Amino acid sequence: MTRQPSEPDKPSRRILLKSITGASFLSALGAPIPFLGNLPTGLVPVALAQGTSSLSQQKPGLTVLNDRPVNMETPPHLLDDAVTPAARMFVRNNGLPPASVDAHSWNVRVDGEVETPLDLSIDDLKTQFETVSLQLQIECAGNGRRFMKPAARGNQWSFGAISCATWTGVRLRDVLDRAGLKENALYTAHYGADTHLSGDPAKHPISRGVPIAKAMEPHTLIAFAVNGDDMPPLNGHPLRLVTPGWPGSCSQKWLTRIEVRDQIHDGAKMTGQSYRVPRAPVHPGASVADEDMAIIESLPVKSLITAPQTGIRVSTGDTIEVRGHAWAGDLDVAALDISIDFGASWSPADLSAPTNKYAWQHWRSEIRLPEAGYYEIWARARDAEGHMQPPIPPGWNPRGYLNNMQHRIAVFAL
Amino acid sequence: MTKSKRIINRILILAGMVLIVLSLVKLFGASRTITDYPTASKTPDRMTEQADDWSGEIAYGVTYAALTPLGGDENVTADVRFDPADDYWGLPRSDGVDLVAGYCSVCHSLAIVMQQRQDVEGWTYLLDWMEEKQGMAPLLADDRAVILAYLSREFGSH
Ligand code: HEC
Repeated sequence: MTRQPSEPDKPSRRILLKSITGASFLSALGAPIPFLGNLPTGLVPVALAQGTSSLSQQKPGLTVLNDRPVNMETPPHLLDDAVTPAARMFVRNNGLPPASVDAHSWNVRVDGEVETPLDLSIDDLKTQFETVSLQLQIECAGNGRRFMKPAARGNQWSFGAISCATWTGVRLRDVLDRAGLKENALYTAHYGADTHLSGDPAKHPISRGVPIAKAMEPHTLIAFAVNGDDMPPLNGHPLRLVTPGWPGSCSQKWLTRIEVRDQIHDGAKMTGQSYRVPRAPVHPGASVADEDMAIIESLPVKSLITAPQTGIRVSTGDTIEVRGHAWAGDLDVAALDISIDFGASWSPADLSAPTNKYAWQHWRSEIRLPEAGYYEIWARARDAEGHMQPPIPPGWNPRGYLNNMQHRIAVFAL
Repeated sequence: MTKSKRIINRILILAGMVLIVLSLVKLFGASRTITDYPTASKTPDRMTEQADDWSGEIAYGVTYAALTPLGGDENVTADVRFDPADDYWGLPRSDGVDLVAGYCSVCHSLAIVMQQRQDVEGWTYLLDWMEEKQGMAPLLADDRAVILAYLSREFGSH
């Protein structure tokens, strides 16, 4: 389409792709691409344009960071609802979602260091255990990565890899109690039905776990519905874990198996530098040895300004309402302050109590911009233990996790 | 007092008076400038112009670069964007573009590649990670050198 006339010698993408599936290109590369035959035809990148538009139908208004695997974030002003609508929940896929899903025949296996391994259908979960509904935050540990300098590897999330919807399911604790944890049970290992991008059936795109204490926390759920409905296919339909307050990767989607282990799980993206930060602070850009990295657990205190939308123009002297949400991993949020003068002075906003533990808290405030000009509204939450959001990205780390810097919006008073 | 001294004194007094008058004029002029100076950047008209000019994004990088204020943007090709409609998905056309388009689009979209800003070390780490953990067939040494050079040139961090 936009091929440069100045490069007549370069093959067009379509030719390139046609030949990449043919033996000639493979031998030209010198090495075959493994499992190429396993890749569904839907993966042929020429179809990408259509793929992207169907994404925007499923999740209108979200920003597509990657179309294969799908990674989408929600602009802050679309997160204004008290309870995040399913269509506005961000998507972080590591592999390809299962092609066809049958909720009736879906099964989750619980095994490993348990007295009685279990095989449970979704109906079994609904009938044999107490059903609970809780509003729970799920946030990607890499939310905010984009502001790390030097740049960190991975999807460049800005602010919107956070959601707080109402999840319905059963407590993981009740299921583990039924199976009976053995004394040496130390860690969980989660598996899902998504497939690795290479097509290799022996590889898991992601398989993470949590210490038994977190698994037994009464807010950790095996969920089969969100906001009273089936969850969107991209968010794990028909079954997923919700491990609130911890990296979203602990909330395995398309859940098929929970293995209880007597050691820290070493599945895909548990080891190396994935979902880990340096044990001791390092200077920006430092290279850190794998053995100096520690697994991330609770996420830090954070907040968003969801209204007004950044860039808004208001009349000088008018009173405007500013509002948003705040959350703090395993902790509650104790206070939220806002500043309209680049952090020189702060004033407290009204902050609501959470609907339940691990639900984000809502805050609101009224401000008047005294003179015409460019203003930024900054929001700063403080958790129950006194930690506050910093104005700049804290603690640079190689993978750019845990950036809980203050969110700011721009306002022009005219 | 000699005559010449008296003359010098008069000249000095005169010069002093001239200086006083000059500085008064200057002061007066300056204060006039201040009082008359329209609060240009604050008048709604010009604010609207500024609002129109605004890039749409808050410059978070500026605060973070506080220690190296002149650090500037990290990448020469910062505005290169993934483009599904383009034959090479919007990859900059330079030596190695066909290898990158071919090898790196098999498992995932180039959108994930084009989001990165890494130096040679960072890209080396990523290519190793693809080969060792993600099942990418090991690259031929020649191809790897070209790909590495392309990635750290077009998607480098400086
Ligand atoms: C055999 C399959 C395969 C091939 C071929 C491949 N990759 Fe990947 N790549 C992966 C997988 C799997 C991931 C993880 C995706 C995720 O987590 O979203 C990945 C992720 C990435 C990422 C993001 C890293 C991160 O930390 O999230 C970059 C950058 C990347 N690949 C670059 C490349 C480049 C450059 C090439 C071509 C030289 C390439 N890949 C070829 C499988 C592959």
